[in-house]
Amino acid sequence: MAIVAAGSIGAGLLGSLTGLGGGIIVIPLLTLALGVDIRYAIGASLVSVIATSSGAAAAYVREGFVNIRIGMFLEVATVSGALLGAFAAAYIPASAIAVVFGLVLLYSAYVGIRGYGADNPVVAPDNLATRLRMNGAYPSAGGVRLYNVRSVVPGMGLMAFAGILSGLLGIGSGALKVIAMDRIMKIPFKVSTTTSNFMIGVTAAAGAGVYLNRGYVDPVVDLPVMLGVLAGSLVGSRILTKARTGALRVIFAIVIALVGMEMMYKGLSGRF
Amino acid sequence: MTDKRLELLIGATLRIGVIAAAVLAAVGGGFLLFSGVPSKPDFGRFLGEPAYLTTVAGIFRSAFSGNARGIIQLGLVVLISVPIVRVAVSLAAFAFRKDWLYSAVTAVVLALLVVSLATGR
Repeated sequence: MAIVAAGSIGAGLLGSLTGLGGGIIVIPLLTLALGVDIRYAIGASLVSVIATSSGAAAAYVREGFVNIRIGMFLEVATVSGALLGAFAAAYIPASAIAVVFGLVLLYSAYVGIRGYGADNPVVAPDNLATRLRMNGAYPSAGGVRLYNVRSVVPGMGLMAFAGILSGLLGIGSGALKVIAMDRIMKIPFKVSTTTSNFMIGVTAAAGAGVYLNRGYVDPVVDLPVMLGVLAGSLVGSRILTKARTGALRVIFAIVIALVGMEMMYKGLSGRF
Repeated sequence: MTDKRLELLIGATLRIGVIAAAVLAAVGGGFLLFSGVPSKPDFGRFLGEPAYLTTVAGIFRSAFSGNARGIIQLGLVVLISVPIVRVAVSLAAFAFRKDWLYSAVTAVVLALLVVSLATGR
């Protein structure tokens, strides 16, 4: 139980810093290190995602990092994508998709490392984003910084794709959410990761009823996961406020490279 | 209501939900330690959960009858409901501001959530 709690603190810490769910730590910790059945681990991963999201987002929203409008708008795309993906799961070879997803993540990690250090420059305001009042401001070391948002429609497209993947593969899709906001919509990195953090809880909650009914959610397994992840995400949200964007980008790139390799391995070994 | 107020409201919703969930789970965990975990549970085999821990009604019943696992499970259900409640609170706040565009957007998200929970995806 202590091992699970300690690992979960790490998961919450990493999840709150990168905008991902923390399943990448919780699932291998439970299944590989402790021999817990994968179905209990999936339930625990869901709990971890919601705990990271709610725990850290409480701070991120209050401090003005999260762009609530962008979050709400893109949730339409991810949640409907997730519904579609779960429906399509019966007809689509998930292993092939996992390999493609893995390649996308590895490429994104490479691009992220190469362009490391810099945050997105302020872009010219986009017509649609302006009409949707998405342009915002966020706190930084040099005071409040304004930013504009671009390419709302392509961004939403990638979000829907992220949702489909999460429905299809049963994984959180925080990585693609961050990439869509950071790379396509040109939103500042910290706003991208915190807004992703804000959104992943909703995508996860959409699937929660099923896992609860199937008996994947065990109180004894999930108690240390939940408390550990909450503690980790509180610490992580303190760190992110002060952290340099360049450092956060490196952490993000390393984590998505690991997720990408895991996806390719699982896809190629036919474990989906 | 300004954007800042909206942020404070949503932040408070998340915070209260998370604290409630953590307190319930910790109390249930305390009960579990006191009653003594019968034997080292084996999670290597998937047995699923007893029926009283897989439905919201059953979880409420067992929690209020003082069952330790039921109380922890209730904490987990509260946690799972936090993002859903957050969307509902946002909808109320956007409607209060007469921000119909974002009220509609939020209503769609809430409807999709309800559909996915009701149909089991």
